[in-house]
Amino acid sequence: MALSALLAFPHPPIMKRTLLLLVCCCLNNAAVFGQSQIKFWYGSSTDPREEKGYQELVNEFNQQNPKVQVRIEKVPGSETDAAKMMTAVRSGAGPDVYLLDRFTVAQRAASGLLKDLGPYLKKEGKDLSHEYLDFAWKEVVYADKVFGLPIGTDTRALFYNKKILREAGIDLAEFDPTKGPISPERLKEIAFKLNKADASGAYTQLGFVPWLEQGWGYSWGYAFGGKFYDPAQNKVTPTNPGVVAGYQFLYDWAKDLGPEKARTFVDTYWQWPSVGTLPEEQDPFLTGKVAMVLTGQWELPRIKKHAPDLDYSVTYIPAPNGLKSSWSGGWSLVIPQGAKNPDAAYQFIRFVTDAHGQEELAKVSGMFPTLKSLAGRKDLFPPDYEFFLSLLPVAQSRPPLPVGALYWDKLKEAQEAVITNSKKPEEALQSVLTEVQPQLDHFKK
Amino acid sequence: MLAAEACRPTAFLMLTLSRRDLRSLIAGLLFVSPWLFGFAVFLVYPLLANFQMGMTDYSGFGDATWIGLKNYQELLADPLFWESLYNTLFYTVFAVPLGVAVAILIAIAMNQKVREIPIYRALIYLPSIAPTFALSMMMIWLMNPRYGLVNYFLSFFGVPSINWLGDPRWSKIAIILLAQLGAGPIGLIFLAAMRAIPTTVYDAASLDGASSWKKFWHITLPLITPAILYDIIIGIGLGLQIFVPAYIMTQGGPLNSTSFIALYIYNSAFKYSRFGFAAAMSGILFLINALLAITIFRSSRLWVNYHVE
Repeated sequence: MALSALLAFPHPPIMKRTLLLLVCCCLNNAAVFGQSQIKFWYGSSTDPREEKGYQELVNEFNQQNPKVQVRIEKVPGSETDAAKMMTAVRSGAGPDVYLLDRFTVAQRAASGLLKDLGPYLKKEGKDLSHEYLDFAWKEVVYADKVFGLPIGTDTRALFYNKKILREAGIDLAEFDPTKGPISPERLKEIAFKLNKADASGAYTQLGFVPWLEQGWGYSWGYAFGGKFYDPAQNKVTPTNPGVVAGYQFLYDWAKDLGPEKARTFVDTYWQWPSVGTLPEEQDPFLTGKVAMVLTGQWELPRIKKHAPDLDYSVTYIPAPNGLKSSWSGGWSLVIPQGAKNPDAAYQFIRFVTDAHGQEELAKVSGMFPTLKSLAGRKDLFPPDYEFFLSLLPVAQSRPPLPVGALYWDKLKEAQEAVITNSKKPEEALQSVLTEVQPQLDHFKK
Repeated sequence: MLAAEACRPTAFLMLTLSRRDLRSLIAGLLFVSPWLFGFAVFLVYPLLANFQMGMTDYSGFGDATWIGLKNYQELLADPLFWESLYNTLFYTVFAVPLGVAVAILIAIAMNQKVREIPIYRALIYLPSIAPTFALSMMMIWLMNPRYGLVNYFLSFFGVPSINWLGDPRWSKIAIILLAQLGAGPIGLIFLAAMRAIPTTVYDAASLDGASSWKKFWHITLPLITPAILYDIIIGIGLGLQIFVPAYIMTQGGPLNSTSFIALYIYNSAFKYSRFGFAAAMSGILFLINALLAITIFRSSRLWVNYHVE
């Protein structure tokens, strides 16, 4: 039927308008015809500075590649929670690119959620495995296949409030990084001098709460020389003596503070474990509620923004025998199954994770690049990042396991049992072993 | 002959129906068919598929492997499952009856004969409009052990500071209390039920010298029992699926004291990629729900008054 005949249809006004709308839509589509649309998703818990970095990179990429249009969509999700992506992928409405916490890549790959990037790497004909930091590359490989490209990393250290320490008569030279890490016993002596309570006995200020912020089991396990995984036997090792010692340190600290009183303090000023509900500016370290905190380099811009006058410095995570330790996390860009434009998605991922992309992202977000070629580039960051950069060579990472999220959650559960003194470290960590190992064995088959 | 045929009863599903009845039955079914379709596609099918999935090892992607009853075996040996089941039942057992009591109070408050009652009704109903998500977020602040308004209010009555969400003894109670903010809609249903009670009954009671408490206990309460039954059945279903407050406020902690079955299902499926295991747990939750609902329904003939004479 000719268009004119259609337009002469008995209800012209409505019909005409509808048709007009349709034509408009078609024209609009024609304009983007031949252009690939890339949906790039990241979780709602993404740091605002990192978001800004990605936004700038997407704009640049879109300008350089008129045939590909990348669109950012922020979706519900956090480090271990990728429910939104999983359901979207199942329904065929998933993204082309997803920003996935790197230590969970193995797990998502094992479940069949991610596309194997092997064919794309092969097509490009470049061996990328040596371009990235070893630990970061290991995290994106599962069963000898590559499932993502590493982007961004970080390190953790001890921040201390010089003013509070000085007022208590502590010699700040003890915290000088050139002397290596302070011993856990000495740290405890100092920290307990800084505790303050009100008339009811409730704490109003604490020297240090070892499980606050980044004081995870991994931080203390590594600090006490522990190992969390034995690759030779494919066994998780939460009962490794070093890990147990780390948890024992937490147990004793909680016991001496009084587990309930400590908990009330933490829930008042940090609202653990509802991470993300506390506005940045109420960070207990910024408000002087704690004199020391174990956290990562992302604390630096927060201090600058919300507490520019804070008199602080950073040093190594306290450890016995002068062991310098830290651990690194970070992200990866992956292509989920069912991506509509995997080729263009790969092109975008390469752009972001390559030297130029990582450099720009580092400058805006303060995340360290995962490329070896950028490893020594102090000039990308403000001077206060230098100590964190210097930790990269000693930093370890979480073992990339297909049960990574479960292991993380169970270690967290054990930590909670330990800091409430409701279980002894050995007992709590033994149950981590009995619950996680069978799940890991499952993947060997 | 036609007339004779029209009168001949036709057997249909054990029922003896005349042609005409049959025709109207079909017409009736056609009229409700959209709903039947929805029921089949969105309820019956997922339910059956869930039981099937519960018999498999399935990551959510790729192929599922049939493993029979292994998931159920593993569940029975899983301490966290039992803990979560206990938490869920604890929540349901306390939140549902308390919910009935609060809703009755709301209904009574909304039923007062004062001029400005529309304003009160709106105020009482207001918290129910807020999504549980938002309420939970807000509650984290209100229940702050040191600065929270809840503790501040309680301090006037000499109650010592409670760490609502951080103390395993209080965390479930905090969530039970939070749930009461959503009692508004049920309160409305009770209000409607109360309004349906003929005033003559109250007039007669007044003539006999009944106090307002007696009127409530012997007239109002028995006559709104059908609405209460409805609320309990619905409440048990919702109570067993309690999820949002625990997900937002406590993530199952402290010490797994708010690890509810629905949260464990969510974590197993979406965090640990164990859809088969999660489906098996959903199956068990469904059976418990059905069992409780049937029991309550059966018991209803003992305490629910359907006829006002």
